[in-house]
This record gives sequence, structure tokens and C-alpha cells, in this order.
Amino acid sequence: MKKTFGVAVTIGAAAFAAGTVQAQTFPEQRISMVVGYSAGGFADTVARIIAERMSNSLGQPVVVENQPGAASNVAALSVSRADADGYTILATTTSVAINQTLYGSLEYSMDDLIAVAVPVAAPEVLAVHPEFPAQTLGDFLAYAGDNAVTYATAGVGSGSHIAAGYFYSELAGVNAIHVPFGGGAPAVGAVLGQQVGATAITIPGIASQFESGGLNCIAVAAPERVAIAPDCPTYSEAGFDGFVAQSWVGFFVPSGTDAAIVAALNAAVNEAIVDPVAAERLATIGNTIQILDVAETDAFVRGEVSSWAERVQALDLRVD
Amino acid sequence: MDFLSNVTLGLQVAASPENLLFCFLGVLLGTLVGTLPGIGALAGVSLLLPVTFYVEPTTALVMLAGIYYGVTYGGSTAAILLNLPGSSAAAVTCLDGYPMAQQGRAGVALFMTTIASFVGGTFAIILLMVFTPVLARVGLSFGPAEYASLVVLGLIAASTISSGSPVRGIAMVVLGLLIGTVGSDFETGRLRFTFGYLEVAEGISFVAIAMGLFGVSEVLNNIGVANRTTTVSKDEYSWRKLYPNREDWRASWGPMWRGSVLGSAFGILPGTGASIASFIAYAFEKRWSRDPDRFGKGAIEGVVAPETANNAAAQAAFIPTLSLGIPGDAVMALMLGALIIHGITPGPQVVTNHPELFWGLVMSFWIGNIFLVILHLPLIGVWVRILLVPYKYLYPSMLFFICIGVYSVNNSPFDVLLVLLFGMLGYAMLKLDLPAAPLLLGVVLSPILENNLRRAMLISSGDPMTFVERPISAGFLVAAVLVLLMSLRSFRRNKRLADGLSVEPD
Repeated sequence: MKKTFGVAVTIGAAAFAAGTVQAQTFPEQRISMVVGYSAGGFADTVARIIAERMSNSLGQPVVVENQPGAASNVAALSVSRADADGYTILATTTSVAINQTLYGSLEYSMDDLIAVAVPVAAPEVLAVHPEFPAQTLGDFLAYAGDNAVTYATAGVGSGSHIAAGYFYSELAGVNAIHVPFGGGAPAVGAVLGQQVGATAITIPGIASQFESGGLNCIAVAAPERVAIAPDCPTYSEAGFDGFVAQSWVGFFVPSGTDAAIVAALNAAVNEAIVDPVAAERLATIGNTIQILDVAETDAFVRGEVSSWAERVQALDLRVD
Repeated sequence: MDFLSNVTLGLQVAASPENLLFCFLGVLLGTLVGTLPGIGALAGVSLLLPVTFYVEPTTALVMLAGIYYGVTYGGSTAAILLNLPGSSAAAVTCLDGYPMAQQGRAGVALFMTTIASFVGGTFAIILLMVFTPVLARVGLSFGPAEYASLVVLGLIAASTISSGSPVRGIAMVVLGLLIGTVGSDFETGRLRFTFGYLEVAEGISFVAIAMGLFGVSEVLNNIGVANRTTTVSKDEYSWRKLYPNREDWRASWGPMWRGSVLGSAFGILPGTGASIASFIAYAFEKRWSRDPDRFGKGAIEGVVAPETANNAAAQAAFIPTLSLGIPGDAVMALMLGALIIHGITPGPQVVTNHPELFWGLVMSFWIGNIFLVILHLPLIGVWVRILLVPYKYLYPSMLFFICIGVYSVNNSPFDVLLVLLFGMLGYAMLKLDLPAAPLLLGVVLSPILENNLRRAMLISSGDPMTFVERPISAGFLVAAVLVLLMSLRSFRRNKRLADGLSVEPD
């Protein structure tokens, strides 16, 4: 059965039959990978690395399209309404999980999307300038108790902001002033220039500063220490047991997509990411590569949605 | 000696056949992409990113950088010929470039922008070679308070760039600032003035506003103008008329040097610099000029100054990107992304660990700039012939390119509708004699001003004295007050003159 530009609507048994046949020959045409952010961001870089290798393994071009807007909600909405045939893939980040609680009214929900794969994750860290008066998490919290301490993040509603805000107000019980920036790079610049006291950021955005000694990592929100900053203790080591927060890049298709196609895409993404060159390069800047099958991916994303929901609600954040 | 050996190493890398080829490809693509209004460097760079997987990291960067500064060269073409600016810098070039084109001097304008771009680029490359580490530190000392004060200075300069009444200029800047507040609040994330449209949650697309106010309004304005075929007759396009005369050259040297200095100075400020540089340079030239009334009516200085500053800023923007690993904009971020793909972590250590990459790239800038001059000069004769195309064929194609260009920025059909809306607004403003450039600059600077003002206040725990206590910030504010006083004085003098003669000032 030939696919005719996605106009034909087939129902019932015909749809099932068509789906199976489609899955066997998938993909027959180019695949669009809709990135919810502008070119050049973290999600975009990962998407392009993966799209490049998927094009080779699937034998059809995987074309990256950037559809930025509203913390990837614009792209998520458009993909959730696309044909459920596997030819439109959403590439987004932790934000899609955060947005489910953060945004008061969304025209889509996680039920409209199927999680295909979440191959890349990176932990949140807290970093300060080497001349900052507090160089450990304990000192930092003590310092924050006596002084007005500021921390820069990539923006309001970002995973870094919510995780750090939740940590300060709910776990540590200190008052820290959030200074949002337009992206991770200017936030790092503000700490380098000692305009703000600290930055809460995901590791890839700051890795080079740790390497060069420009900034010091004082806590990492991962279960274990990370290779790129081996001297940086985890939050658990510093007495905040189990505080883990990470930012990830995930791929989604519209719900209703044939399970065999979802499985094929999951395999293609995972194959692309374990390509030793890709994996090594992503790891250099502090990413973790995770290979999950479709069921594990689904469970992972559900867990993320609920854990971020708890933090967003605790901070009483709301975007309408 | 160390410097010399680095330069030699850089030249060897940059002059290898492969790097030469990719440098040429980069600037060629940059020129093409830049000439098409609205399709910016980002589109070009992201299109070619996959190619960079297969070449050496230096080669990849040489090509991507070539696209980046090639676009700034090319951006002036559509601005001058068709009043279609793709960036805020090009919008400034429209002010005098388009009037020059209508007077049959498009060739001169294009020629001088090419030379000006080369001079500005060259100046910044020298700075890049000699002072990179020092300048990067200077850039870091700019905090939110400094940025906010700088923008205040920029806004005051912006309100004086249009000819005619300063009141109208200021009113349009304020309207632009208000339009710039659409989108999510940077501190709370709440959506402001979006009326439920998520498409404008991150602000109204700048390209849509620029294309609407300048390009579409121009098309609307010419609809129904009886029997107009071309602005100027064919014989005015003689080969000799395409090239600048001695007076043009004499008038241009000063603006080029001042533009180079201003552009490089602003270029080292990540992100903000490039958008402010060109119109500060324009405002400065206008104030410097003995005859400011010529500005906006086809003054060559009004084209040369912003174009020099614009290209100097584009090259100087590599200073924070390469030496600190802090990208100034999305295109720079994409280039750093290309480095990551090659296993090089962008950051301060790149200059020391990979000297062949840093110096090879810097030296390739020279080569790329020379390529651009060679590419552009012969093309001038071709470009100006666009103006010979009868309007009835030219305008539909202009609208077509506007739509494509605007759509390509965010892949958003919504933005195309916005162009129509801003086109109608621009037409109304044209009829009411309200200047569009100050509005556009207001839109660009609005989020920079608001966010940095609020960031500075967050950091100072709400104490507004931070803006005068910090020396650099205080300096900008003093300069802003001086500029304001000077404009008020010349305004009052003009008014007195006009009252005395009882003639309405134009």
C-alpha cells in the first residue's frame, strides 16, 4: 500500500492493516524532526547529531526543522496534531514535562504524544566563581543565610530554575534571589564577570569553565559524581539525600502512531546515540547516554512529569 | 616572536587548499543568504551544519564563520535596493541607502558599503589578533546595570536618527518599546499581551516587523501610482555612475574609521553589541556632520557609518565566543555546537590547546573578507539592474521573498500574517509622516532594556543607585544626558529659526 501524501483517512481494520504494512516498509519518505528551540541550542545540537546518523541507518533523510516558541510548546502542539504516521518527530527537552504543570492551559497534553526515546540526559549543577566567599554547598547555604545571594539561570521556568528554586526554598530553607537570563551562556558570563554569586545550570553549558578553572562546581544533582567534574560532590554527599535533577533531550511522536513504527524509531535513535563517536562527544561535555526501550522511555517520562509537577507546585509557579 | 609564529601558523592553516575552498563556499553562501531578505545567518549555518561533520573542525568553523560575516556583507543589498532590511543593522542602512537608490546612486551605495564592510571587518580582525584576552575581560565587566544604561544611551541616540521632528522620533521609540514588551515576562514567565497566541510568547518576530514596516509598506505605497515603471531611466545606469566619485570617497573615510571603532567596541559585548553598534554609529555621524539635514535623504555617510560598524561588530563578536566560550547569539552558539560535535569543548582553553584552530580561523577572516570584496564589486552592476525591472513585476516577487524570508525564521505561518499587519501599520505611518526606524530600534532594545534593568534591580536588592554607583554605567548615563541636552538645544535653535522666518520646518 502506497502512502498518498497523508490525505487518505482509513478506519477500522483497514487502518490496522495499513499500519502494519506501513511499519514493515517504514520509512518510505523523508522524516521531519521538529525541534522546539532555535538552532544552536542544546536540544538542537543533539537532534542534529541524531538526525544525521538516523538518516544513514533508516535510508531516508531526517530533516531538522526548528519551530521555537513558548518553551517548545509551539512545536509540541504542532506535532501532537500531525499525522500519526511516524514521519513527524518532536525533539524537545525536560520543558515538555515541566510545561504540563507550569502552563495553566495547554492545547495538548502528554496523552497526545508517545515518548519514543530519551537518549541524552545531563545533571544540574551549582557553580560559583573561584573568588566567591563560599566554595562548598554548606558554606554557600550559610553565606546565603546572612547575605543576599543571587543565582543566575537560563530563564524562568527552566529546569535549572525550578530545581534550584525548589532546593533553596523547600530543602535548604534559605532565601536566594533568582536572576533569570536569556539562556545558559549569558548566565555563565554573569558569574564569570562576578555580576551574580552563583549559577544553577545543566552541566554541558558550563563544562568548559570547569575544565579551565574559570568557575568551580560546588554541587551536582546526580546520584553519583560525574566524570567531567570529579571533585564536585553530589547534593546527597552534602546532606541533601536523593536530590537529583537533570535536563534531558527526548523524542516524541503523535499518539496513535503504530507501535511497530514507534519501536523502529526507538531503535534508530538508540543506535544513533551509541555510535561511539557521538556518544563520546556528548559525554565530553558531561552528558549521560541512556538506552531505554519504548516501555522504559514511557515510564521515565511519566516519572519526570510527576516529579517536576511536585516542584512547580511547591514553588507556586504558573504561566497563563 | 610568539605572536609572529602564531600568525604564521594561522596563515598556513587558513591558506591550505581545503580551507580556502570552504572559506569561499562559506562567504558565497553567506552572500546569497544575506541578500535574500529575512533569511538570516542562522538559516544558512544550520543548513550547512551536517556538512561540517565530515571535515576538520578548523575547516568547519572557517566555513560557518564565513557564512556569518558573509551575511552581514550581503544584508545591505536588499536594504539599499528595495528597502527590505533583514536585521536591525540593515534597517539603519535603509535610511540613506534607499533614498540613494531612488536618486540613481544605488551603485555608489553598494560600492561604498562593500568597502566600508571591508574596512570595519579588517579593523576588528586586528583587534581580535592583538587584544582578544584583554577585550574579553572588558566584556565580562559589563553587568546588567551597564547594559541597561547603555541601552538608555542607545534609545536617546535612536530617537534622533530620523529626520524631522524629534517628538515624533521619541514617540515612535516609545511605541517600539511597548511592542517589545509582548511575550513572556522574564521574571515570572507570565504571558503579556499575547491574547492567547503562543506564537508570540517569545515576543513578536523582529524580522516580521522590519519587513512589514519597511518592505510591505513601500509596496503598498506604490500601488496605484499611475504609469510608474522604474525610478530612474536606463541611461542613468552607465558603468561610470555605478562607482563613487572623489567627493564620495572624501566623505566616507571619516565615518569608516569612527564606525570601525564604535562597531568593535560594541561587538565585544555578547549579544547586545551588534544590534546597537550600527545605529549608534549612524546617530554619531549625524551629530558629527556639519549638515545633519542631508541625513535620511541619501547621505553617503549615513550608509558607510552603520555598515562599517555592523561588520566590525560581526568580527569583534568572535572575541567573547572564542576566548570565553560564551556565544553572543544563536549563530555563534551553533558554531560552538559544531566544535562540540568534533570533540572540542569550546571555552577559554581553545586558544591555548588548539592554536591552529584559533589562529587559522582568525587568519581565514582576512581571506574571507578579501573574497567578499571580490565577490561583491562585480555583482553591483547586476544588482542595480534589479531596479530596471518594472514595478508590476518587481513587487509581487518582493512580497514573495518577504513571505519566504519571514516564514523561514521560525517556520511559523503566524509570522507571515504579522507581516501583513505591520505592513498596514507601516503604510499608515508613512502617510502620517511617522518614522519607522526609531520604532524598530525600540522593539529591538525593549527586552534588553527591561530585562537588564530588572536584573540589575534584582542584584542590587531593589536599590536604583546601582546605576550611578557603577562607573561604566554612570558614564553611559552622563553621555545620554549630554546627547539629550544637545538635541534639545539644536531643536530649539531650529525652532527659533523657523519661527523667525515663519516657515514650517520640514
